[in-house]
Amino acid sequence: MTKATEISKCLVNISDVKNLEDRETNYLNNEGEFWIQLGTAVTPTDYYTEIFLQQMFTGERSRCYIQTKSGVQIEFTVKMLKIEFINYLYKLTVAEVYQLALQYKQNGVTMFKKYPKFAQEYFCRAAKCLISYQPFDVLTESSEHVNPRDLQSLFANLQTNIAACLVKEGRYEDVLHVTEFVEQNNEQVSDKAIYRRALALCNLNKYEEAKELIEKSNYAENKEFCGLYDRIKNEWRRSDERYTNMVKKMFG
Amino acid sequence: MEGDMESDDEMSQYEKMCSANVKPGMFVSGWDDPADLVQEDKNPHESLDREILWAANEGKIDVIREILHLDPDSVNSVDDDGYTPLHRACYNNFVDIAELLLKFKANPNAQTELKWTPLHSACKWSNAECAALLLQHGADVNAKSDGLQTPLHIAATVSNCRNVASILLLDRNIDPDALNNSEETAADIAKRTGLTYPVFEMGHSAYRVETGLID
Repeated sequence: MTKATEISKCLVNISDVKNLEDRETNYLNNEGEFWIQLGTAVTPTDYYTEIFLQQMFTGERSRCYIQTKSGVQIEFTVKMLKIEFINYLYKLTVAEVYQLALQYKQNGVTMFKKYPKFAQEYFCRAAKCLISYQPFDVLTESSEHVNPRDLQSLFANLQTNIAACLVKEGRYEDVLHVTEFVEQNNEQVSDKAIYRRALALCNLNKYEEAKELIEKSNYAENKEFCGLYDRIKNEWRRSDERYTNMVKKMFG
Repeated sequence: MEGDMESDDEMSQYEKMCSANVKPGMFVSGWDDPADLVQEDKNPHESLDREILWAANEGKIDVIREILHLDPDSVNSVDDDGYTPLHRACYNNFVDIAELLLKFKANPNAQTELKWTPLHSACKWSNAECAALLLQHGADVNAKSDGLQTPLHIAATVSNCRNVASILLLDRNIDPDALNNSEETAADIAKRTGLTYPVFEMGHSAYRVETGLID
């Protein structure tokens, strides 16, 4: 009755693959029996294959279908030969969760260029794993075998990556949420995080806050920062002009 | 406190209110905690249906195995409130029994009279392993009870619900914005209930992604 969890290992045999075409995969092009460590997929096809594997029992043989945008279905048959259960995710220690989050982050970095949505999914999943142990400041290195500062640093890094994905989608309110740590003004704040927060503030017409944030950094030394700084000033000025004209029209 | 009452009429009214047949929780808008309603069978051995319910409550896995081999349909037995053996195993955190029942095709989404599923029961008592097991076997993570409580709402009422909340919030299908009929999200409840509120950050919209169809 055992099913695999997100961190299990599965011994499988995959056969009769159809309509894969030139899509990337590390799983569907294998012949014979082989092990898959769940949580390591770095192509969309393999990512969805892992979801199938989590539904299966040992000994089960299933025909699987993945719908594509073109309407064609990728098809393959999986035989689940063995499941090495390992553990439920919630039972992992803080140190194990940290390692898992690092693995997810690395998967996200690998996928970001070609498959940004899947990268975002990995970054978010990693962030959620870490959140399950928040607040970090009550953890101690001696009992948890991982430095809470490393946890905080990885979390900030993930949030900065998530912010990049959210900026692409125009989800600026969410960008502000994941970059709140920027306002805490500690040494872990990267220029990228500051830039993405300032960009979101600008797009939400919060020009004053955006300008103040950029002025806290060494914006003059960075071309992108300078560009954003100019954009904020120009848009703020135009916004003020629009407001003045509107008032003139109403009362002039 | 007689001195506080200004007249006999008022006193009489007060006594009526004290003795009124009011169910606990009646004034908690939208709440449908069935814990007070779980019945005890005085003669559990009269039939296989009643015996399996009793055994699921008492952790008697051998009895359950025997009953299921005699009558596999008894896995669907229900008590007067609609609780199945799986509900009972899950609120008692009998993981082995829950596994056995699922093996015999127990419905992971069976509903009681108040529309509680086994997952609601597991969450009510912070039984993380049962919750994880149920989700693996097809339990609806967003199932709604009569009061529109999802399992996450139920988990949020428990002061330290880190494990169960993490399991639910890491589920791909979770809807953390679901409102109960008091118009509250689970995070609203967690905020005032206890220690685990920071974990509900996982449900923030910033961490939601639709990977969608592949190219």
